[in-house]
Amino acid sequence: MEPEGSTKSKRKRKRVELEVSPEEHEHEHADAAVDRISNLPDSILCHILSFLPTKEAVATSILSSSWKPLWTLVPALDLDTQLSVSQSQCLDSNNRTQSVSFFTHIVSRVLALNKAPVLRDFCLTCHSRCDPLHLETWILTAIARDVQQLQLDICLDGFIKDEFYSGELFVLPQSFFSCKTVVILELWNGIAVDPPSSFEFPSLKDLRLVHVFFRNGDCVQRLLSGCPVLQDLKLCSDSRSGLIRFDIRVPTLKYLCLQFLTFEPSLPDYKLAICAPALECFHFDGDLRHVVFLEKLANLVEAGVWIHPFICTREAWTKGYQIGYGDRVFRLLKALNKAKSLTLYPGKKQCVDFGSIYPSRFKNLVRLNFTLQKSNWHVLQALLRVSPNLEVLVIDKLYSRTNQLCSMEPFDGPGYVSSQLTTFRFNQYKGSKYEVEFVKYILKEARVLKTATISVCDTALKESVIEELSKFPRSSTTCLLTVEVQH
Amino acid sequence: MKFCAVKQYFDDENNNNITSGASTTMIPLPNVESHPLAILITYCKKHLKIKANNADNKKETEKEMEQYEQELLKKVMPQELTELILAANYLNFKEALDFFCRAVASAIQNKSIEFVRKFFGLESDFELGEEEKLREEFAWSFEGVDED
Repeated sequence: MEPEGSTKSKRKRKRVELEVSPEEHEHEHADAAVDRISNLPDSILCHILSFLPTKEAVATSILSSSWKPLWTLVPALDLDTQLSVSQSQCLDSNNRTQSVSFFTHIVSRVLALNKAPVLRDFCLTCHSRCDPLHLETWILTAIARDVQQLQLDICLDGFIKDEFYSGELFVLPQSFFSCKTVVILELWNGIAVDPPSSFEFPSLKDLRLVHVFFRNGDCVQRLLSGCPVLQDLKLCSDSRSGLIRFDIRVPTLKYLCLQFLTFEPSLPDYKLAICAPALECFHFDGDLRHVVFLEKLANLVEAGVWIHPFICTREAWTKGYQIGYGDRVFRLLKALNKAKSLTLYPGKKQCVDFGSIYPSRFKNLVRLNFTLQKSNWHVLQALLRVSPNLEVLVIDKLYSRTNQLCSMEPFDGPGYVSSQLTTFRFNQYKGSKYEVEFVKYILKEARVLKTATISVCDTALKESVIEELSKFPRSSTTCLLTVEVQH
Repeated sequence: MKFCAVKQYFDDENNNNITSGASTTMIPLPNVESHPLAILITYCKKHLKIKANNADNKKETEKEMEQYEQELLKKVMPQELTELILAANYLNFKEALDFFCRAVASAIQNKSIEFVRKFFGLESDFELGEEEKLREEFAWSFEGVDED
């Protein structure tokens, strides 16, 4: 499972590769076929242009006279301070000021010239010191034009790749919170979110807050309380965001994605209480501290948990963090026990001193994707034991460079494998002793197993693996064992 | 039903109380040619199949769909895209329409004006000097394109 917050979700720019060589095709097809593209109705041409950054859409105005006004009718604007390659190379402050005022001029012009009846999408990326007043004006203009999808990424002091923003913040104006039409809202980086005590986003269904800043933990719930129809929430936070104790209480929420990245121990633990009884899909990625679910997730269908605790050099902190680590992992898993599909990587750290293992059973679990390491082997065992209806089991083996002082206990008797298991897959198989034992156990115990696929990285290994594993007895007569090579 | 135009047809039929006793109903689609229609039907079926296979896993669905879409694009000629777009538009098949429009946008992204003209089969029909004026007015939008 990959960390989710790191790439922009710019839906409309999802890159779709097309191999084109016009010269070749012109010979093969009559001119009539080529001309038909330009005969597409204006509305469709505008739809095509809406998938391009505004800079490129504007450039199409010189294609021909019929194309000249098209970009002004596109109900989407996507503007970036890096409007020209040469500008982004301006290093001295004089040039930078000039290029910023140039950008200001361009955006104002574009906003004035665009006469689409409704501005459906507005996406603004500003990674330079632009006067916040201009930014406010543009945002409020978009709101006045009934914007439905709004994306803002603002770093007034510039943005450095792979580093978290720590410069001056842009504060959203209070009138921002009176937008009645926004359905999808995405805020990135150097933006301070401080909602008024009572406001409403009556249409907001999808909210993404990525590394933005809050004055305190209450701001989050204040923001969420103003979203009566919110269904999707994505919150990516790092240790600087100001979130220590906060709640997520959204009765309509169906999809929740959390990402927490912590660096050096600059802040104490965070404490998050979640109340989202309608939740169907839950994803967690990062550093797990105190996460509590206030209401049972009875509607949960899919869950993905990917834990990677930070590495700290200070011994005392590490000890304190590790105590209760296993406990936190198991408590989180317990809350997710209604899931039908679970993707889990409980992390490298050993889950020592966990509480009583799974008093609750994973009765609904049909599909389990587990990223296995020596240190979390017993978590897998415990999970398998309480999943009586599991049908699909996929193991991804992760190899760690550090030597982990933990032994992998073999299965003590039958009862770990569900009687419904039909599909088994083991990726990055190397043929180590316990891997062999594991596969042998599955083959022996899974009575209705249909396919068992072992994936090795090394072609040389394939033959020996086939030979070794084919010898093991299978309790399922219809089981097909395949060994494949995947790099 | 993904083909909203077809769904509309069935809804209208029901409203008019026309009994369709036969197991196959003929629906007239005058604006759609058979070749693009075949591709759209395959796309739709694949989409529904992937969704059903990964009923509980949104991410897997998206991943598989993207893989299929990449494969599909390798087989489609740029000129066919027009027909596909028109067909998807007529049938009111939103996912396919968005997909093929994105494909066209991708094809012309970061390309020079000459390239895009060739791609769309356009000729400049501006008055003398008009094009230069436009180039000046929007100079910032022409910077940073790929070499042809």
